[in-house]
Amino acid sequence: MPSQAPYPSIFSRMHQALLSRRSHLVMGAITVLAVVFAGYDATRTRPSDGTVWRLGRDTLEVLDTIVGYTGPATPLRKGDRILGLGKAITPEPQQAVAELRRFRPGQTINYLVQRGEDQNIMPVPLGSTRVDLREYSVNIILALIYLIIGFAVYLRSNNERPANLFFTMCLLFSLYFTTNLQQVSYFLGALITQNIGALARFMLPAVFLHFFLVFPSRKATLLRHPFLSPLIYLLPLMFYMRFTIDQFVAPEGGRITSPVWLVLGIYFVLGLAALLHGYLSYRDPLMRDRVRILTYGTMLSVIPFLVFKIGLEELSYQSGLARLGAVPLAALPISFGYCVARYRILHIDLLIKRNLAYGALTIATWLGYFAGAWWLGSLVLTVVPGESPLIAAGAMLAVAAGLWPARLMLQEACNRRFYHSRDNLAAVIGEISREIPRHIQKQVLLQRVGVQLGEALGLPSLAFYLGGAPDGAFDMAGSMEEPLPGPGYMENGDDESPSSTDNGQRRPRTRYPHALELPALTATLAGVSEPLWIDTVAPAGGDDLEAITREQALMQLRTQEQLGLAELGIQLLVPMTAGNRLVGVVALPVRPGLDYELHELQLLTIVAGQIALQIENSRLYEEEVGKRKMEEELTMARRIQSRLLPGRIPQFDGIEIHAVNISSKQVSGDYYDLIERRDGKLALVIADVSGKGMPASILASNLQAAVRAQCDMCDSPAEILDRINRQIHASTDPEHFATLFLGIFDPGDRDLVYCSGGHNSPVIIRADGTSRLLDKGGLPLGAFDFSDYEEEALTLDDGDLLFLYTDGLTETKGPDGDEDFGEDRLTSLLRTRFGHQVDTLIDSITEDLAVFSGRRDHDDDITMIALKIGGVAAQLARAQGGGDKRPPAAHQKP
Amino acid sequence: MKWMVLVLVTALVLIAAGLMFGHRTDTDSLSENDEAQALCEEGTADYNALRLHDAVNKLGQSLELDPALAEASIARSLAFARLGQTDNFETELDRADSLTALLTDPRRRMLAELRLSALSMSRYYTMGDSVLAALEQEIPNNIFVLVAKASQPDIMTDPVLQEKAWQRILEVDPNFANSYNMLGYLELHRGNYDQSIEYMKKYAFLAPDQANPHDSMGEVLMVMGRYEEAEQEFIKSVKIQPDFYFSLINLGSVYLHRGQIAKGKDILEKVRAEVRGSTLERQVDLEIINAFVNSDLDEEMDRMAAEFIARYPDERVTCFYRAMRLAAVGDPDAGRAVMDSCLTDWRKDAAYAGDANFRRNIENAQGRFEAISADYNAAPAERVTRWKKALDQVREVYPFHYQWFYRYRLAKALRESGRPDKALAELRPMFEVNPRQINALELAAYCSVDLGDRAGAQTWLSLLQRSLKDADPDFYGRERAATLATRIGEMPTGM
Repeated sequence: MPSQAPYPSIFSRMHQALLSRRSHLVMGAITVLAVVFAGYDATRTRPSDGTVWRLGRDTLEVLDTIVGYTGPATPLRKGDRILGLGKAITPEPQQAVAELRRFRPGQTINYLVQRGEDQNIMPVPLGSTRVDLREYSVNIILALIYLIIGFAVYLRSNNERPANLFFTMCLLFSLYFTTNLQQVSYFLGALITQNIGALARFMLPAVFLHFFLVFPSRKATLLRHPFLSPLIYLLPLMFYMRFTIDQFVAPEGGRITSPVWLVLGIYFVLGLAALLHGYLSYRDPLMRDRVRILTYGTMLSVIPFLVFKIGLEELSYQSGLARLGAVPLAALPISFGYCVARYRILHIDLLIKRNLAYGALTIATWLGYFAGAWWLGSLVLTVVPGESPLIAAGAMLAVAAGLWPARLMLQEACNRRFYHSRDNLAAVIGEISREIPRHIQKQVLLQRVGVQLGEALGLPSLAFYLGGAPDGAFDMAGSMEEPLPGPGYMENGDDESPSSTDNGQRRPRTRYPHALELPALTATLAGVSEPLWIDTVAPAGGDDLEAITREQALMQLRTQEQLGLAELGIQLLVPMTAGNRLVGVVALPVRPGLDYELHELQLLTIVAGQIALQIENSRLYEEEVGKRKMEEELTMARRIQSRLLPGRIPQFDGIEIHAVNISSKQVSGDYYDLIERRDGKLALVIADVSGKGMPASILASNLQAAVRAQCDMCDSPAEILDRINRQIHASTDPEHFATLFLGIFDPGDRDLVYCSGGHNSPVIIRADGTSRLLDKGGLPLGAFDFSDYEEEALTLDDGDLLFLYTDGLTETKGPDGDEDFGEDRLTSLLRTRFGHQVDTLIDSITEDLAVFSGRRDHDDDITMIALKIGGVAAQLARAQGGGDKRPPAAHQKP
Repeated sequence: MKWMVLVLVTALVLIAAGLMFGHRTDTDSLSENDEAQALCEEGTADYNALRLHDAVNKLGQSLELDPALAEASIARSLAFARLGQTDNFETELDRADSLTALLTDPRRRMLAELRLSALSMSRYYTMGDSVLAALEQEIPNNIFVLVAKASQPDIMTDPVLQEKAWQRILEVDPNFANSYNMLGYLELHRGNYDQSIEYMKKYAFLAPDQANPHDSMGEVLMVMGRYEEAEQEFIKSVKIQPDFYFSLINLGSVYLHRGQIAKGKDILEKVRAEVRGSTLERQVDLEIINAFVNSDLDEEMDRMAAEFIARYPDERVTCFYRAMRLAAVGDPDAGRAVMDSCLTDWRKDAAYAGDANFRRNIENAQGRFEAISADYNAAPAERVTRWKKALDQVREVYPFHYQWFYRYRLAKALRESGRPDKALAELRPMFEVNPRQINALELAAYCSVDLGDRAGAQTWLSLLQRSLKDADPDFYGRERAATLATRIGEMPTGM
């Protein structure tokens, strides 16, 4: 199977290089230089004879007179061949230039001119190439506005296409304004300026159109046909090539002709149309509002520009109204700047002075470098013998090379100061530090930071392992497997296939297993908190060393683990430690031909620490979320459970009834019910559902519904429980079940028929002090589909106390956790407080329980029901003339 | 690091290549004072371009800054020489000679000696050949070496070598004005008049404040019959340098050619009066005689020749004039005896054996005397023979316009011997260059009359009349033109 191409193609690399931030910054620096040079050149006072010369020929020919030339009228005509001027015969154009520079504007000098067959010596008055400073100052201001806003936007952007295009557009506009396209062709400076200006004029419309095809939203056509983007530039590039060639070969020289201006104007119009389309196609009024100002700004600036600057000045050579087309152009960058600051369009945060200062310092560094190279080069040339251009070039090159390290040092100092270079430790830490807190999810965090680290260090891959328990188990939590461009890092996609390195050696690709078992190294990693270098050389005789001591055994194990890691291609483990706890490790690959440098290790240590902290934060966050979720469930469960309890306690003459339900934090599913049947009997229900929280509450709810439904339909508790058991079992999982006691009590006869579904047996305390447990019944409800429930009937006598409870009461632990509250203690308490009213009784038991456990809250729900025949209240009623309808008697049904 | 090493290696390779293959410049340090050196270089460039006043000023300033700068002094003395400021020249030359002797750098000293060897008053006058030989080996492309080489007699006498030498100078310095002058004359002598004018215009362009370029340009224009333009050039020349007598003589010649005899003679007489007693007097007299000869003014020529004979009895050319005058008064044998006697002496001269030019001039002088003598004393057929011989002697060696006198006299003899067609054939090429030669046009018209070619005669007459438009009212040519017109008018039409 053919492997994938391991290296990106040269075109792809070139494309990436062209679009890289560095190349943009270089382009910006060059533009600033060009703007400064063009400004300097345009404002210089140099002599001009009012004509354009043909370049690149041995003979010097007048191509034309300068359009709009303000100097004195020249006697020279198109087609004149200049054989000499001033005081020199000039066989070559550059000699003529040198001679012309010896004179000043205002002087009249002789020209030796061949016109047709005749040679004539004619006096030619000289004018000046200097532009009108008042007019030009407007252009300079506009150029500065574009440069400042362009740089500010770019330096804050994240290398996104629209921001890059906007930056390029600003650069081209600044060049457009500062390169006054004079036709004077005989000064090198003018020639350079003219060519830069022409390039700006040709490329500006294309960039303008391209920008508004991707901004405010990328046009669908471009998405469908990405090849259209480069095609936009094809025509202007062809125009520029033609212009460049024409300068040297065409009879009329290099000119931007009217048809070409028309085409370029159409580019602008299309750009405006694209902007309008983008603006109008926003349905979201918020987004529309955001681009409204810049849409208006662009329209207001570009339309006058098209009319007055291109239409009148460039096409009709009427420069009188050109300012009307130039000045409004300031609205374009200003409107963009406003929208960037106000709405953060182009994904740009607020402008920061630091970036401007950084840009200015970078430019100053470059300017200083060029000036220094020029000055030193000139100095060297004065001591180097000979005047050969080769010597001059060599000397300049040598000086430039000699000064290069100094420039780099300055730039690095600048970078360190402004945290701007990716190569800079502080800059990378800064960027990653900003990135880390943004991601609370571990996977996303590790993926993002992995990519950033990989880019910063030029690594093809790395992996994050989380773990760090004493057993040394680590699980992969994220890896950056995609090959990234970097120095000497290229990998094959196939794990098994070798990949080449810079020096041509073959080496296996780094592999990251899903889990690492590093019991020996874990202690080391936790202890050092610094990157651990994987030593690929085993200690002498290490494998054969018999482990005599524990330390030796540990060392041997550590060596084995390191060898294992080395075989995988892992060179470095960086511990991720939060506090003293090892959270995980970052595994890094072998760097062929290079070692990890100290500052990189520092970077890795710092970043790993930050990741560890963030992972800890993430864990705590997850716990917090879980807790909150549980709280919400419990609240809901508590609410459900409270609704299960009867709203009031039924009242019967001569019978005291009281019930209480104490919920624990966990809400464990207790409930009781007192149901008044239609036949006047009272159904006593107490239940405890297995589990806690919401599932228990739901089951309790179902249980209550089932009991209430069955209670009126059947007099036999056993039969009712049997039915409910089947019903619950069919609708719930087997692990969900409930204990339930159901008694049907006839207040008139005081007969009680009951059945217990695995519930704690209620207690009857007789008036004579004896007690008995109501333990007839069967298995808990819902546990099995089969069950045989037995019921018992009995009669309560006057003074008897029936006490029902759930296990939360008797299983409450004492303070030391060894002793339960227990049934015996309960029975004893019931006996001793037999004479109490039932509510007082329950309260006192509750109090006793708190005293016993040493706390007020409980781990389990506690439910109690007390029913007393002829209690204190009944006795009082009877003493007042009332009395029981029937004497207390106990009935027991088989 | 790799980049750095690569760039440094490239730089070193470039410097080494530049040192190995680059031309070594001759602008070695001449003075410790940079300003003095710069002024010296500018002044020398001005001198080469014949901006002599600028040169004198700049070189003077240079010498003020560095009084030991020999090169400045040399160039300044040469400039003074060109300007004719004899006293200044001699003073400056003394200084130049002295400073040159103090030069310690051998090459620099040899260059200085070479430049001074062009001046007969310098102590280095005789050193030219030896120094040139040495410097040619060492610095063959140095401008002074090239100029000295171009001025060598063997090159000066060979037009091909001469052109090559002056063109080479222009390759080194396109602003070396004298090259254009020399090349202009070279082309004039070759008969390439337009080319000659182009060179002369460049010469005049480079040195517009010098008389000589205008004079040279005027000469070419005069040969071409563009007398009005030539007149302007000579006037410019005289305005720039009022004592530039050769331009005055040429200006007088222009008037003579146009039939403005009084004006022409007046100027020539004034020139004679001006130069009387000076070293220029002899040369000016000869030029004036030539002017009268070329204008066919026999009386004036005879008078001038008589005066010349009286003033310079021992001059070689005096012998020729004496013989010619004897022949003119009807004693050709006496004249021939004088001529033979002179020729015998001349032929004994060492130069006769060694110098081809000298020998050719001697023999040509004899042929010319025989032809002129025949004009006075022989039958037309004999005259034809003599003039043909004389013309043949100069045909290959003299420039075409120098031959016109011979052609005219031959044509005259041919017509008188009844061969007007042959006469016309001799004259026609002259008119192609200069269609304003009054005597020749008259002769051509008569030839056409003799041939019965009324139209042709009318054409020649028209040209003649046009040439006479500025002539003096009493100019003899006007009367003769009127006679000619009558004669042509009498010719039957439709022949």
